[in-house]
Amino acid sequence: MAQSMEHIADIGIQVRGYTLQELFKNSLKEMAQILKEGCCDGVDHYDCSMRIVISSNDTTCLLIDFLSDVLALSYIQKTLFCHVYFSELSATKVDAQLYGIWFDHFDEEIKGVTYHEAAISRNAQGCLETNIIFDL
Amino acid sequence: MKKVQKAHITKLEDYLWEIPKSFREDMRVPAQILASEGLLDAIIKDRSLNQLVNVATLPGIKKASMVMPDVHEGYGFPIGGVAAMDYPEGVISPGGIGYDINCGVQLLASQLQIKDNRDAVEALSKELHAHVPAGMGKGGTIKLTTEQLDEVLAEGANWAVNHGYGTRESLSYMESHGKLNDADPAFVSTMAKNRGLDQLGTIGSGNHFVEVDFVEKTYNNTIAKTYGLQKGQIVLLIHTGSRGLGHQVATDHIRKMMMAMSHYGINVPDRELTCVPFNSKEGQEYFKAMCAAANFAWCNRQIISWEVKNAWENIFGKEGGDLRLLYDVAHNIAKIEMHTIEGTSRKVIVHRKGATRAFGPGFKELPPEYKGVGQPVIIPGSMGTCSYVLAGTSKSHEMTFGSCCHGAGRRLSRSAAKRQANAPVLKEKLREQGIFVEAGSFRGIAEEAPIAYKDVGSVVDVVSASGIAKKVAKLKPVAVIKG
Repeated sequence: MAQSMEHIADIGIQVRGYTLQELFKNSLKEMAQILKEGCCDGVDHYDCSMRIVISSNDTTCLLIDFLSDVLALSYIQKTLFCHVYFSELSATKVDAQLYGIWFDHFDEEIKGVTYHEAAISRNAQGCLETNIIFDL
Repeated sequence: MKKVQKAHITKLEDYLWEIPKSFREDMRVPAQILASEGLLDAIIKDRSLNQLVNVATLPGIKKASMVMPDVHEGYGFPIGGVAAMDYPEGVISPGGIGYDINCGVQLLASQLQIKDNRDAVEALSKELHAHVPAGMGKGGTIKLTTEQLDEVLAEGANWAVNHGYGTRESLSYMESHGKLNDADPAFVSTMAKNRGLDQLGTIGSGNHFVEVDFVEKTYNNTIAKTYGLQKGQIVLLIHTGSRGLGHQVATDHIRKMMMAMSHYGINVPDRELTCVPFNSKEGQEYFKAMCAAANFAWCNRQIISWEVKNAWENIFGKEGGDLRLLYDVAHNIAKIEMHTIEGTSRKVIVHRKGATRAFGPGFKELPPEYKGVGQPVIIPGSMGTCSYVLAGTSKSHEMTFGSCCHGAGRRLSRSAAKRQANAPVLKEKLREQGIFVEAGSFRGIAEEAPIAYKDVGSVVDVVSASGIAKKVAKLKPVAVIKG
């Protein structure tokens, strides 16, 4: 439920999900895919689990802030997070457990997850969607 | 919002174009573009000029929002943008600096000639690849404690020199002498510090590199001689920034400002333009953290230059001579500077995002021998093309708040570059041209292929013809080391 977008300097994705949880999960997987292609494919054992709690102004900010914090944890823990279990996910708060696999080397360095062009909305098919531009 | 078309743009003089304030109701100042007509026609195709118009709406902006000829679309601010805000009430915006705080370039000059050392270039490229940690996730050999990291954040390149990485004399050849005094590590988060603990002395990935070049041509022999450059001389370029630490500083403070912005009654047309008054609590906290990240970047480049010197000595021995720091410039930074606006000299907060400071002769910070000719401005091109050394002029103060372009500027997205460039073929083709490429992946080579960039020569011709910088020397690559 995601596709890549052209952006001259950076990488963009358009991500979708029928529920907020699905949108967040798909965004997480897409970011991991940019960091290391195919890293989450067929993974059924995780090396690392971490809790993440964030509050933001609105749901779009919450998604970007969630990805930013996951990105920072990925670099610090040398871990690619492929799966997330939500204890709470509201319009402005997320409390979740992340599950990831250790990696020594990533394919791509994402410098930041930007708010540029991010806006969660429901499309004609009833699906939540947003663009996300990553600064490389 | 309506897209900027050529009909909306007025020519002010050769190479200077303007989108008037009347283009959009919320513009506080006009938007100016430094470009040739050919480059302008290309620039209009992406959304960078709409982003430039958005910058013109920010509170406290003075004179005009500006872009250099290497401009391309970014997020929030365009890459290649310059904006000066009134001090201290005007805003500071992390988006006007970028995630890679104090990304910049360092130029080292050798005493060797390419004609006598062509055979050693391949070995040198492999040695550099072995000595300089490159690529994503690669930590450096220096593992700092949090106390040591705080010292780096406060002292910048001085920390490196104090710990044996380079000479004290070299600090005079760095913008701001490699240290911003307003840095305060207390405003750098634990998360940011954790990301920086093992990253000192690493170049990272993307468009960052270490490059071996030779001086193919000199344009101004007097200035070239002053800078210690001569035809055929081998030089080395280092391009990197503040790594994950700086990225996290930007992320943390954009988030804080987003929460705070409404308290100051500020609305922005793009969330990546998030900003607060410079003299607000949040503005000061970001500025002090940004200065700390900038110091980390200067220390990083200083340590990489030490790694480069070790690799150099391993190949050439003592006969290889010294690698002298010619200059080190930042191209993603905000600084408090004095500029003349409407006939009055005043302090402004100059944001440079993908733009290089280009101060002219007489600037007191410059080392004595450069004072008469102006600051060296280093413009890297793409692998396979060429780079330039320019000299800043007094006209840059009049036109562009003492700023110049920072590179060639991208013309293709990374995905488009990967589709169009066959990396193994490109690597071999470059090798046939005498350019050795050492990279972590073919993907990295394809994304940074020369085809992805504008013609750096056209960009440099514009800044030279407009008078904001003088061409001094053209550098030709012979080895490129990438993450």
